[in-house]
Amino acid sequence: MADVHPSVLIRFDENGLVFQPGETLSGEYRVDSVEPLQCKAVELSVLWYTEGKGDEDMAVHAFERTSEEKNGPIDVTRPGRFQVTLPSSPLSYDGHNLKIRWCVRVRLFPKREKELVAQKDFTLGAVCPFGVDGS
Amino acid sequence: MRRGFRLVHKKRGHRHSVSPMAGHLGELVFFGIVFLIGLVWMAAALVFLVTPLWRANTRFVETVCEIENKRVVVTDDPDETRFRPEFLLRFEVEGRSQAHWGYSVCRVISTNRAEQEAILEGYEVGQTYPCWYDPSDPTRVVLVREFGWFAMMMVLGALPFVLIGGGGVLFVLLRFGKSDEHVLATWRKGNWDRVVKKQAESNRLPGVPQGADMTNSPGTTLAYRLPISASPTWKLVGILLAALLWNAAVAYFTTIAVRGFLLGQPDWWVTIFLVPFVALGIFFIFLFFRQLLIATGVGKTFLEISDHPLHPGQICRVLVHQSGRLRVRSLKLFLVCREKTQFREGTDTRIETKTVFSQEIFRRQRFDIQRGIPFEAEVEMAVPQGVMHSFRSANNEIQWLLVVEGKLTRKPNFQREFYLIVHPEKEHDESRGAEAVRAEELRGGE
Repeated sequence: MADVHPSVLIRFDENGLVFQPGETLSGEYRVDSVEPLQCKAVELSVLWYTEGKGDEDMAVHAFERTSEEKNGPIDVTRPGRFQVTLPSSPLSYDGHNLKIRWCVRVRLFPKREKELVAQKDFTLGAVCPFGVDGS
Repeated sequence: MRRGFRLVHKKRGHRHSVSPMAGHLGELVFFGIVFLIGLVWMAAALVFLVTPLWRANTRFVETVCEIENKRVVVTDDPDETRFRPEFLLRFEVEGRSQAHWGYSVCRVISTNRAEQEAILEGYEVGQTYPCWYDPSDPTRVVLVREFGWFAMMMVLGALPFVLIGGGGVLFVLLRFGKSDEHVLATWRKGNWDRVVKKQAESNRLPGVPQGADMTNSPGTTLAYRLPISASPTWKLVGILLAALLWNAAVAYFTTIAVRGFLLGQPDWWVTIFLVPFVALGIFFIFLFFRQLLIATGVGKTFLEISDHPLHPGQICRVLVHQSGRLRVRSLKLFLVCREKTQFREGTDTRIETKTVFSQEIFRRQRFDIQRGIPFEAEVEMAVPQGVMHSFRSANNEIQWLLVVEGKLTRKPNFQREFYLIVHPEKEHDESRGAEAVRAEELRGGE
């Protein structure tokens, strides 16, 4: 049976998922829904978060909220565009007990249905992972 | 599908299974109750203690009274019996004689009868004393006017409840119905951003510690002297305090156990139970003397560096300085990268560190250091190309440090750590290419 639940798709303009500090990350998000979806608000964030043994930390580099109250009716049938200049740090990192991930996250607040969240990870910088033996 | 209120959500990965809305409501109720307790407590203290004291000190009229009688009033509470002193005071109000019972405006009561009787002893029946009465209600008359430490303590006692509860309610309300990203973004745009604006402007590398205290001490040979991460003296004080506290507690229970033996009534269970605690106490004493030897006998270690902060691929010079009178089996210097993570388990906060990179950059074996003639060696060090930069957030950290490890004869081995800051790779450094090649040569030559 086909999935009838709406979903959010995020696409970057460049096909790659690796970006360097100072580069521009641009793309669009699109809502896939069988029935027309009415939304109160849409939030787009470019952020980093940590994963691993420690408690999660997160910081938002860029944030944009479009709400019905401030911006009028939201048409989610049209793709939403985003463009942001990436910062110098922190770079993406894949360590033993700590990982630093960058992502674009889109959060939709439909009027009648539950909140929808989608995110697409990307790599900032090109950090060499350390070997298991600490070399 | 309608969006209903759900108490519990499906658990995904490490995330909480409780609905965020239920979590917010729970927090709101908790902080609301704390706030209300504080508010009621503070209001009661103000109405029943502070206001009467203030009126007695500023509004009551002073006159002279004669003590006609005195007594200790006994109040039988369900838990215990309480006492307060009272005097029958005769005084004149606008030419009319009146007699009313009174002593202090707060009517603070005590469980100590002797204390209250001692107050009665301080006043003689038939004698005259100054007193103060309320002009709007002369039945309220006092023999003493106090500053009211008790009232102040009651108000101050309520303050943490009001602040924590009120702050918590405000915090929850500000976050209510907002995503985590929205809260963080609002926080950045709000007042906090203005507070840290200066810092943010000077720090163009978010998440990278600035390490201002690492370049404010000039070196004698090289540009900077690096601060030590934990001074041996502070370590010594910490261990001493731990040893004293632990052994004082253990000594108390050991005395009880020993007394049992002396009286011929040994408690073997207590004695067996105490053994591991005594062992740990002895271990603390051993640690203390070991640290004492390191702090006083090993001498100072310091490092100087030619450049700071560093960046991947950079070559710099490091000066190792070791003083003291030592017979050294080996002295090594390592460049280390360490992940430090902090996490909560129930009510405990745990910290875990993991060394993810360690490179020996200097080693010298079997030599002596004479008192007054410190050992010094200048070495070249290369930060590996493409490695992760220093990073710090609330719960996670990537630390770069230089570690000096010494193995000694007839003295305890020691390890001293010095933090470094490594910035992300320099993109527009013209000398970067040459440095990178030299760094590769250094690594290859080991």
